[in-house]
Amino acid sequence: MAKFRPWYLLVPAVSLLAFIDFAPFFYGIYLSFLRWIMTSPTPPIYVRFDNYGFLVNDSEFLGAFVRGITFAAVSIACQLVLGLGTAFIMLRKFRGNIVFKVILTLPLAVAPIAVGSMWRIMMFPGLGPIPYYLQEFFGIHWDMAANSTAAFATVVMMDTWHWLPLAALILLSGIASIPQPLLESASIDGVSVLQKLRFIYLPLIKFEVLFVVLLRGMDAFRIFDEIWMLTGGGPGDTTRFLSISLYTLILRGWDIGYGAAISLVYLYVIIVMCWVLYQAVMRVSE
Amino acid sequence: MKKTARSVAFEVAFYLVVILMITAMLFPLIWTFETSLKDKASILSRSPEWWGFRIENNYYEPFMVEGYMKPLLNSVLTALGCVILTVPLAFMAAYAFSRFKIFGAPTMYFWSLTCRMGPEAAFIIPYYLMITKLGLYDTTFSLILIYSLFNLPLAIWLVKSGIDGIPKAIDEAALVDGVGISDLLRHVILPVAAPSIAAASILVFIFSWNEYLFASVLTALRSRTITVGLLQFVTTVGIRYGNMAAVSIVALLPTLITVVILQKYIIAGLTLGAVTSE
Repeated sequence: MAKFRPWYLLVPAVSLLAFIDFAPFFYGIYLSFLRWIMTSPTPPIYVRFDNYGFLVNDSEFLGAFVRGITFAAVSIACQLVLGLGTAFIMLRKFRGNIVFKVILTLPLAVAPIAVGSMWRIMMFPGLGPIPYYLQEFFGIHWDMAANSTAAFATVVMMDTWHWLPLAALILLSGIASIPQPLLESASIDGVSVLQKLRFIYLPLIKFEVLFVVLLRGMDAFRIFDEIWMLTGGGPGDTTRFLSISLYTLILRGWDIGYGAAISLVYLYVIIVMCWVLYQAVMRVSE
Repeated sequence: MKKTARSVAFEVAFYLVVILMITAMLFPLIWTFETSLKDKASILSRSPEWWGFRIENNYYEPFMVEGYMKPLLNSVLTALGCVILTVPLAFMAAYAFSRFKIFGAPTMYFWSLTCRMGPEAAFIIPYYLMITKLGLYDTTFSLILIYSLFNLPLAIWLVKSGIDGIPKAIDEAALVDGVGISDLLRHVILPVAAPSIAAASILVFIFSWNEYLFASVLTALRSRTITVGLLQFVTTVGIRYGNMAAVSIVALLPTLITVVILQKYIIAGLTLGAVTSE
């Protein structure tokens, strides 16, 4: 049976991928060397690395990148801490834990664009119940449409609502696989809860923690739909992350060459970051 | 005595936290549903109205008058088309990847990871230009093609993990008996790998249904999907929140129902197989 090599089974999948994956990639590289405004009658001209030169000094692009990192860091931190708490809740076999789990996973299926619209209906000043109650009971003026801190916090809360379940479920699978005798001997020795967390749980679920950072970190860097719907990148540029920045750049100016250059750099940064995190995850899992 | 008091307090606190979390998770869904049933005055009233509001059918206007049935149908067609295109290809490729050492196979996992992680916005320009040049702008077919790309690696990877569980001796026995490769795939491998194929189909459906960015760039009136239709409420002057809530509910219901019924598949798929328990 050594001769049996049905490589042709791969042909359909690979040709589809070649057509719609590699072709646009190389086409994108080609476009990034052009000066081409689609809406102007001037034909595209070859400008070599000029587009990349602009990019280095583009404060809009760099600002969006920094905002993206901040957003990723804050939302990952929230989701890890709350996710760990939720995982411990799910670990306990309490009455109704199946219902709890089902309810918890609901947000995962919701279309991101609908997440955005739901949070808009809920959080928009003068419309949503949350700003009203914050004002009424705590005297906090929560204006998502004008205050940049409130907008940023709302975006983080929305992202946490949407993806906390995923973080919790991944962490739960780690905690559930910790051998029971280890935990029992620790509680006999009178180890405090915090020490237990620090010296037993965290080292043993390192893989799951890193996996959450990988999945959520990459998602946070590509986030578009929810935020586009909720804030549209505003107020000002507070929530204008890379995807939104790029999208508005392309659809506003139709500057194909420059847009292509940013797209490539963006893609490349993501792939490198993903690779580094992936290596870290793989090293831990061995 | 003191100990029991403490444990009772702990119990109470525990259930309070559980109830708080359930409320937080359900609140946006419930509030949006309520909003979709309110009339304009109740939606815009100064204090939130929880019950006793005047009921208005906000579903009627978008779906019956403004033609939102079309985007809804487009979404169904796009998502189903994507499943039909992706899953058979994934099945064949997954079999090859599972049974033979093929160049690039070890990095498959990373590949499927980057396809799930890749920023869609970075693909807009080449796709837009290619699709317009091919004359496929504003067609459901162009969306199906592009979603398939983004879902194919994930689908291959999920189906492969199903086929990996089938002993290789079974194929060999079948091939020695003179069964052709297509019969082997159809009658031997397919039934055993069915659960993983089902999981892949569901996830491909959900991801295609939920997608917004490409649909917004590559379609206009004719074949826009429900997610694109939903955003159009924001761009019009004076957002009609009641209708927006109604369309949101319709847009999220199919995938929500799927996730309730088919929990475990979805969790395994979203975590790329890292979580398979229960």
